[in-house]
Amino acid sequence: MSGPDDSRDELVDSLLGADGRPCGNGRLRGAVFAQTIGVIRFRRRLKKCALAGSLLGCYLAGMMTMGLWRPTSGGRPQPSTEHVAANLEPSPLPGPVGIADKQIAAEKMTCAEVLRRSADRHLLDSGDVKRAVRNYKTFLELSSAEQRAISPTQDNWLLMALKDARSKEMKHDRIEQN
Amino acid sequence: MDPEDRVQREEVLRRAVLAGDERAWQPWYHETFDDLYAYVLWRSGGRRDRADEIVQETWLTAIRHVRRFDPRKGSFRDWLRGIVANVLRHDLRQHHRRLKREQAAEKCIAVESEYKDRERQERIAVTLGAIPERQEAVLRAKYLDGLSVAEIAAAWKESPKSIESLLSRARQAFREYYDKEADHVRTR
Repeated sequence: MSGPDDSRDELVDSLLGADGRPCGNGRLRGAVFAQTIGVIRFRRRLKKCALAGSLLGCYLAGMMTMGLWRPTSGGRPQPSTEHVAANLEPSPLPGPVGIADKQIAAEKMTCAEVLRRSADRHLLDSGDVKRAVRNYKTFLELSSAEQRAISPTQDNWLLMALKDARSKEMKHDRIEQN
Repeated sequence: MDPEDRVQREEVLRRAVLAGDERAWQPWYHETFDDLYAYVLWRSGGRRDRADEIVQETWLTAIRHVRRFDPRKGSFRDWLRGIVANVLRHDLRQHHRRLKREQAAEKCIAVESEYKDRERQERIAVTLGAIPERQEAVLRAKYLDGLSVAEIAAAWKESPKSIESLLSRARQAFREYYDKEADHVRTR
Protein backbone atom coordinates (compact mmCIF):
# COMPACT_ATOMS: atom_id res chain seq x y z
CA MET A 1 0.00 0.00 0.00
CA SER A 2 1.38 3.38 -0.89
CA GLY A 3 0.51 6.54 1.04
CA PRO A 4 0.79 10.21 0.03
CA ASP A 5 4.26 10.40 1.60
CA ASP A 6 5.51 7.64 -0.68
CA SER A 7 4.44 9.53 -3.75
CA ARG A 8 6.08 12.63 -2.35
CA ASP A 9 9.29 10.56 -1.82
CA GLU A 10 9.06 9.47 -5.43
CA LEU A 11 9.04 13.13 -6.38
CA VAL A 12 12.22 13.70 -4.37
CA ASP A 13 13.73 10.57 -5.93
CA SER A 14 12.93 11.78 -9.41
CA LEU A 15 14.29 15.25 -8.71
CA LEU A 16 17.48 14.18 -7.02
CA GLY A 17 18.22 10.86 -8.68
CA ALA A 18 21.40 11.09 -10.71
CA ASP A 19 21.41 9.32 -14.07
CA GLY A 20 24.51 7.30 -13.51
CA ARG A 21 27.69 9.22 -12.78
CA PRO A 22 28.10 11.84 -15.45
CA CYS A 23 31.66 12.51 -16.47
CA GLY A 24 32.83 16.03 -17.02
CA ASN A 25 33.52 16.65 -20.69
CA GLY A 26 37.08 16.23 -21.87
CA ARG A 27 37.46 19.77 -23.15
CA LEU A 28 36.49 21.27 -19.81
CA ARG A 29 38.80 18.87 -17.98
CA GLY A 30 41.71 19.81 -20.26
CA ALA A 31 41.00 23.54 -20.13
CA VAL A 32 40.72 23.65 -16.35
CA PHE A 33 43.83 21.50 -15.98
CA ALA A 34 45.81 23.89 -18.18
CA GLN A 35 44.67 26.81 -16.05
CA THR A 36 45.66 25.12 -12.80
CA ILE A 37 49.03 24.11 -14.24
CA GLY A 38 49.52 27.75 -15.21
CA VAL A 39 49.07 28.75 -11.58
CA ILE A 40 51.58 26.10 -10.45
CA ARG A 41 54.13 27.25 -13.05
CA PHE A 42 53.69 30.88 -12.02
CA ARG A 43 54.25 29.89 -8.39
CA ARG A 44 57.42 27.98 -9.33
CA ARG A 45 58.76 30.93 -11.32
CA LEU A 46 58.00 33.27 -8.43
CA LYS A 47 59.97 31.02 -6.06
CA LYS A 48 62.94 30.94 -8.43
CA CYS A 49 62.86 34.73 -8.74
CA ALA A 50 62.75 35.10 -4.96
CA LEU A 51 65.74 32.77 -4.61
CA ALA A 52 67.70 34.61 -7.29
CA GLY A 53 66.81 37.92 -5.65
CA SER A 54 68.02 36.80 -2.25
CA LEU A 55 71.29 35.49 -3.75
CA LEU A 56 71.82 38.79 -5.55
CA GLY A 57 71.09 40.63 -2.30
CA CYS A 58 73.70 38.56 -0.48
CA TYR A 59 76.24 39.22 -3.24
CA LEU A 60 75.61 42.97 -3.17
CA ALA A 61 75.80 43.04 0.62
CA GLY A 62 79.16 41.25 0.41
CA MET A 63 80.42 43.74 -2.18
CA MET A 64 79.35 46.65 0.00
CA THR A 65 81.04 45.17 3.06
CA MET A 66 84.28 44.73 1.09
CA GLY A 67 84.05 48.30 -0.17
CA LEU A 68 83.65 49.66 3.35
CA TRP A 69 86.36 47.48 4.82
CA ARG A 70 89.14 47.97 2.23
CA PRO A 71 90.14 51.64 2.90
CA THR A 72 90.77 51.01 6.59
CA SER A 73 92.98 47.97 5.98
CA GLY A 74 95.06 49.21 3.04
CA GLY A 75 97.75 51.90 2.85
CA ARG A 76 99.73 53.68 5.51
CA PRO A 77 97.86 56.30 7.52
CA GLN A 78 98.94 59.83 6.73
CA PRO A 79 99.98 61.87 9.73
CA SER A 80 97.44 64.56 10.39
CA THR A 81 98.05 67.96 11.88
CA GLU A 82 95.82 67.08 14.84
CA HIS A 83 97.96 64.05 15.54
CA VAL A 84 101.10 66.17 15.54
CA ALA A 85 99.52 68.81 17.69
CA ALA A 86 98.51 66.21 20.25
CA ASN A 87 102.07 65.01 20.47
CA LEU A 88 103.54 68.46 20.84
CA GLU A 89 102.88 68.46 24.55
CA PRO A 90 106.10 67.75 26.47
CA SER A 91 106.57 64.21 27.69
CA PRO A 92 107.89 63.70 31.23
CA LEU A 93 110.72 61.33 30.32
CA PRO A 94 112.62 60.62 27.16
CA GLY A 95 111.28 57.51 25.48
CA PRO A 96 113.14 54.24 24.90
CA VAL A 97 115.65 54.11 22.14
CA GLY A 98 115.43 51.31 19.55
CA ILE A 99 118.09 48.94 18.14
CA ALA A 100 118.82 51.33 15.31
CA ASP A 101 119.52 54.05 17.87
CA LYS A 102 122.06 51.80 19.63
CA GLN A 103 123.91 51.26 16.37
CA ILE A 104 124.11 55.00 15.78
CA ALA A 105 125.33 55.54 19.30
CA ALA A 106 128.07 53.12 18.59
CA GLU A 107 129.40 55.53 16.00
CA LYS A 108 130.28 57.90 18.88
CA MET A 109 127.91 60.69 17.96
CA THR A 110 126.52 63.17 20.41
CA CYS A 111 123.40 62.03 22.23
CA ALA A 112 121.31 64.79 20.67
CA GLU A 113 122.47 63.80 17.20
CA VAL A 114 121.62 60.18 17.83
CA LEU A 115 118.10 61.11 18.95
CA ARG A 116 117.51 63.32 15.97
CA ARG A 117 118.62 60.68 13.48
CA SER A 118 116.53 58.11 15.24
CA ALA A 119 113.51 60.40 15.05
CA ASP A 120 114.18 60.99 11.34
CA ARG A 121 114.18 57.24 10.73
CA HIS A 122 110.98 56.74 12.68
CA LEU A 123 109.27 59.42 10.67
CA LEU A 124 110.60 58.75 7.20
CA ASP A 125 111.11 54.97 7.19
CA SER A 126 108.33 53.57 9.32
CA GLY A 127 105.95 56.54 9.41
CA ASP A 128 105.73 56.31 13.20
CA VAL A 129 104.97 59.93 14.03
CA LYS A 130 104.46 59.28 17.73
CA ARG A 131 107.96 57.89 18.28
CA ALA A 132 109.47 60.53 16.04
CA VAL A 133 107.83 63.31 18.09
CA ARG A 134 109.05 61.72 21.32
CA ASN A 135 112.67 61.54 20.08
CA TYR A 136 112.58 65.04 18.56
CA LYS A 137 111.38 66.44 21.88
CA THR A 138 114.21 64.78 23.75
CA PHE A 139 116.62 66.02 21.08
CA LEU A 140 115.38 69.59 21.55
CA GLU A 141 115.86 69.33 25.32
CA LEU A 142 119.47 68.18 24.92
CA SER A 143 120.39 70.31 21.92
CA SER A 144 122.22 73.64 21.82
CA ALA A 145 120.59 76.94 20.82
CA GLU A 146 122.17 76.62 17.39
CA GLN A 147 120.68 73.19 16.90
CA ARG A 148 117.25 74.47 18.05
CA ALA A 149 117.15 77.14 15.32
CA ILE A 150 114.83 76.35 12.44
CA SER A 151 116.63 75.35 9.26
CA PRO A 152 114.31 74.89 6.30
CA THR A 153 116.95 73.10 4.26
CA GLN A 154 117.89 70.51 6.92
CA ASP A 155 114.75 70.11 9.06
CA ASN A 156 111.63 68.23 8.07
CA TRP A 157 108.07 69.56 8.56
CA LEU A 158 107.65 67.87 11.95
CA LEU A 159 110.93 69.03 13.40
CA MET A 160 110.27 72.57 12.18
CA ALA A 161 106.86 72.56 13.83
CA LEU A 162 108.33 71.26 17.08
CA LYS A 163 111.15 73.77 17.03
CA ASP A 164 108.68 76.59 16.44
CA ALA A 165 106.51 75.40 19.30
CA ARG A 166 109.55 75.08 21.56
CA SER A 167 110.77 78.64 20.80
CA LYS A 168 107.31 80.06 21.47
CA GLU A 169 107.16 78.15 24.72
CA MET A 170 110.53 79.50 25.82
CA LYS A 171 109.53 83.04 24.88
CA HIS A 172 106.38 82.71 26.90
CA ASP A 173 108.35 81.41 29.90
CA ARG A 174 110.73 84.36 29.70
CA ILE A 175 107.88 86.86 29.67
CA GLU A 176 106.33 85.20 32.67
CA GLN A 177 109.62 85.30 34.59
CA ASN A 178 110.03 89.04 33.88
CA MET B 1 42.75 3.49 1.61
CA ASP B 2 43.82 3.52 5.23
CA PRO B 3 43.13 7.00 6.76
CA GLU B 4 46.76 7.40 7.85
CA ASP B 5 48.01 6.48 4.39
CA ARG B 6 45.55 8.92 2.89
CA VAL B 7 46.77 11.76 5.15
CA GLN B 8 50.39 10.96 4.39
CA ARG B 9 49.85 10.76 0.64
CA GLU B 10 47.82 13.96 0.47
CA GLU B 11 50.38 15.82 2.59
CA VAL B 12 53.17 14.73 0.24
CA LEU B 13 51.12 15.78 -2.79
CA ARG B 14 50.24 19.11 -1.23
CA ARG B 15 53.90 19.90 -0.49
CA ALA B 16 54.94 18.86 -3.98
CA VAL B 17 52.29 21.07 -5.55
CA LEU B 18 53.32 24.00 -3.36
CA ALA B 19 56.91 23.45 -4.49
CA GLY B 20 55.67 23.73 -8.09
CA ASP B 21 55.71 20.05 -9.07
CA GLU B 22 53.27 19.57 -11.96
CA ARG B 23 53.66 15.77 -11.90
CA ALA B 24 52.18 15.66 -8.41
CA TRP B 25 49.20 17.76 -9.41
CA GLN B 26 48.32 15.71 -12.51
CA PRO B 27 47.16 12.46 -10.84
CA TRP B 28 45.56 14.32 -7.97
CA TYR B 29 43.52 16.44 -10.37
CA HIS B 30 42.47 13.64 -12.72
CA GLU B 31 41.45 11.18 -10.02
CA THR B 32 39.21 13.80 -8.36
CA PHE B 33 37.79 15.56 -11.39
CA ASP B 34 34.90 13.24 -12.31
CA ASP B 35 33.72 12.88 -8.75
CA LEU B 36 33.74 16.64 -8.25
CA TYR B 37 31.98 17.27 -11.54
CA ALA B 38 29.22 14.80 -10.66
CA TYR B 39 28.75 16.49 -7.31
CA VAL B 40 28.61 19.97 -8.82
CA LEU B 41 26.16 18.83 -11.50
CA TRP B 42 23.92 17.29 -8.85
CA ARG B 43 24.07 20.42 -6.71
CA SER B 44 23.30 22.57 -9.74
CA GLY B 45 20.09 20.62 -10.40
CA GLY B 46 21.55 19.05 -13.55
CA ARG B 47 22.44 22.28 -15.34
CA ARG B 48 25.61 21.52 -17.24
CA ASP B 49 26.44 25.09 -18.29
CA ARG B 50 26.31 26.20 -14.69
CA ALA B 51 28.17 23.12 -13.45
CA ASP B 52 31.02 23.86 -15.89
CA GLU B 53 31.43 27.35 -14.49
CA ILE B 54 31.29 26.18 -10.89
CA VAL B 55 33.82 23.40 -11.51
CA GLN B 56 36.24 25.81 -13.15
CA GLU B 57 35.90 28.32 -10.35
CA THR B 58 36.34 25.59 -7.74
CA TRP B 59 39.55 24.20 -9.22
CA LEU B 60 41.10 27.63 -9.59
CA THR B 61 40.23 28.49 -6.00
CA ALA B 62 41.66 25.15 -4.87
CA ILE B 63 45.01 25.56 -6.62
CA ARG B 64 45.38 29.12 -5.39
CA HIS B 65 44.65 28.19 -1.79
CA VAL B 66 46.08 24.66 -1.65
CA ARG B 67 48.35 25.84 1.19
CA ARG B 68 45.24 26.03 3.42
CA PHE B 69 44.30 22.42 2.77
CA ASP B 70 45.04 20.29 5.84
CA PRO B 71 44.79 16.53 5.12
CA ARG B 72 44.39 15.78 8.85
CA LYS B 73 41.10 17.70 8.92
CA GLY B 74 39.58 15.85 5.98
CA SER B 75 40.20 14.46 2.52
CA PHE B 76 41.01 16.54 -0.53
CA ARG B 77 37.65 15.52 -2.01
CA ASP B 78 35.77 16.88 1.01
CA TRP B 79 37.83 20.06 0.98
CA LEU B 80 36.92 20.59 -2.68
CA ARG B 81 33.25 20.01 -1.90
CA GLY B 82 33.48 22.69 0.77
CA ILE B 83 34.81 25.09 -1.85
CA VAL B 84 31.96 24.05 -4.18
CA ALA B 85 29.40 24.90 -1.49
CA ASN B 86 30.89 28.38 -1.08
CA VAL B 87 31.13 28.99 -4.81
CA LEU B 88 27.53 27.82 -5.28
CA ARG B 89 26.26 30.08 -2.51
CA HIS B 90 28.00 33.06 -4.07
CA ASP B 91 26.83 32.08 -7.54
CA LEU B 92 23.20 31.66 -6.45
CA ARG B 93 23.13 35.14 -5.01
CA GLN B 94 24.45 36.59 -8.24
CA HIS B 95 22.13 34.39 -10.28
CA HIS B 96 19.03 35.65 -8.46
CA ARG B 97 19.97 39.24 -9.21
CA ARG B 98 20.66 38.43 -12.83
CA LEU B 99 17.40 36.49 -13.16
CA LYS B 100 15.35 39.44 -11.95
CA ARG B 101 16.88 41.65 -14.59
CA GLU B 102 16.42 39.15 -17.39
CA GLN B 103 12.96 37.91 -16.35
CA ALA B 104 10.88 40.11 -18.59
CA ALA B 105 12.91 39.48 -21.70
CA GLU B 106 13.14 35.78 -21.02
CA LYS B 107 9.36 35.43 -20.75
CA CYS B 108 9.00 36.71 -24.30
CA ILE B 109 11.78 34.66 -25.86
CA ALA B 110 12.01 31.34 -24.03
CA VAL B 111 9.88 28.41 -24.97
CA GLU B 112 7.51 27.40 -22.15
CA SER B 113 8.95 23.89 -21.56
CA GLU B 114 12.53 25.13 -21.64
CA TYR B 115 11.67 27.80 -19.12
CA LYS B 116 10.03 25.27 -16.81
CA ASP B 117 13.04 22.95 -17.02
CA ARG B 118 15.37 25.73 -16.11
CA GLU B 119 13.12 26.84 -13.28
CA ARG B 120 13.01 23.31 -11.87
CA GLN B 121 16.82 23.02 -11.99
CA GLU B 122 17.09 26.37 -10.34
CA ARG B 123 14.76 25.30 -7.53
CA ILE B 124 16.70 22.09 -6.90
CA ALA B 125 19.99 23.98 -6.70
CA VAL B 126 18.56 26.57 -4.33
CA THR B 127 16.91 23.92 -2.15
CA LEU B 128 20.11 21.85 -1.84
CA GLY B 129 21.94 24.98 -0.76
CA ALA B 130 19.28 25.86 1.79
CA ILE B 131 18.82 22.60 3.71
CA PRO B 132 21.15 21.78 6.65
CA GLU B 133 24.56 20.39 5.74
CA ARG B 134 24.01 16.98 7.34
CA GLN B 135 20.75 16.50 5.47
CA GLU B 136 22.40 17.53 2.22
CA ALA B 137 25.17 15.01 2.94
CA VAL B 138 22.73 12.12 3.44
CA LEU B 139 20.82 13.01 0.28
CA ARG B 140 24.13 13.18 -1.58
CA ALA B 141 25.18 9.77 -0.27
CA LYS B 142 21.81 8.31 -1.27
CA TYR B 143 21.19 9.93 -4.64
CA LEU B 144 24.57 10.98 -5.97
CA ASP B 145 26.85 8.26 -4.60
CA GLY B 146 24.03 5.69 -4.90
CA LEU B 147 24.69 4.15 -1.48
CA SER B 148 22.09 2.07 0.36
CA VAL B 149 20.99 2.96 3.91
CA ALA B 150 23.13 0.12 5.30
CA GLU B 151 26.18 1.36 3.39
CA ILE B 152 25.72 4.94 4.57
CA ALA B 153 25.32 3.69 8.15
CA ALA B 154 28.53 1.68 7.89
CA ALA B 155 30.45 4.59 6.36
CA TRP B 156 29.21 7.08 8.94
CA LYS B 157 29.51 4.59 11.81
CA GLU B 158 25.85 5.02 12.77
CA SER B 159 22.86 2.67 12.99
CA PRO B 160 20.74 2.06 9.85
CA LYS B 161 17.71 3.21 11.80
CA SER B 162 19.17 6.63 12.56
CA ILE B 163 20.23 7.00 8.91
CA GLU B 164 16.72 6.04 7.82
CA SER B 165 15.29 8.68 10.11
CA LEU B 166 17.79 11.29 8.93
CA LEU B 167 17.02 10.49 5.32
CA SER B 168 13.31 10.85 5.97
CA ARG B 169 13.83 14.26 7.61
CA ALA B 170 16.11 15.31 4.79
CA ARG B 171 13.51 14.40 2.16
CA GLN B 172 10.86 16.29 4.08
CA ALA B 173 13.09 19.35 4.41
CA PHE B 174 13.90 19.15 0.71
CA ARG B 175 10.19 19.04 -0.21
CA GLU B 176 9.37 21.97 2.05
CA TYR B 177 12.18 24.17 0.73
CA TYR B 178 11.40 23.09 -2.83
CA ASP B 179 7.73 24.08 -2.50
CA LYS B 180 8.66 27.30 -0.76
CA GLU B 181 11.04 28.12 -3.59
CA ALA B 182 8.23 27.38 -6.09
CA ASP B 183 5.99 29.92 -4.36
CA HIS B 184 8.85 32.36 -4.35
CA VAL B 185 9.39 31.90 -8.10
CA ARG B 186 5.65 32.32 -8.79
CA THR B 187 5.51 35.59 -6.86
CA ARG B 188 8.62 36.99 -8.61
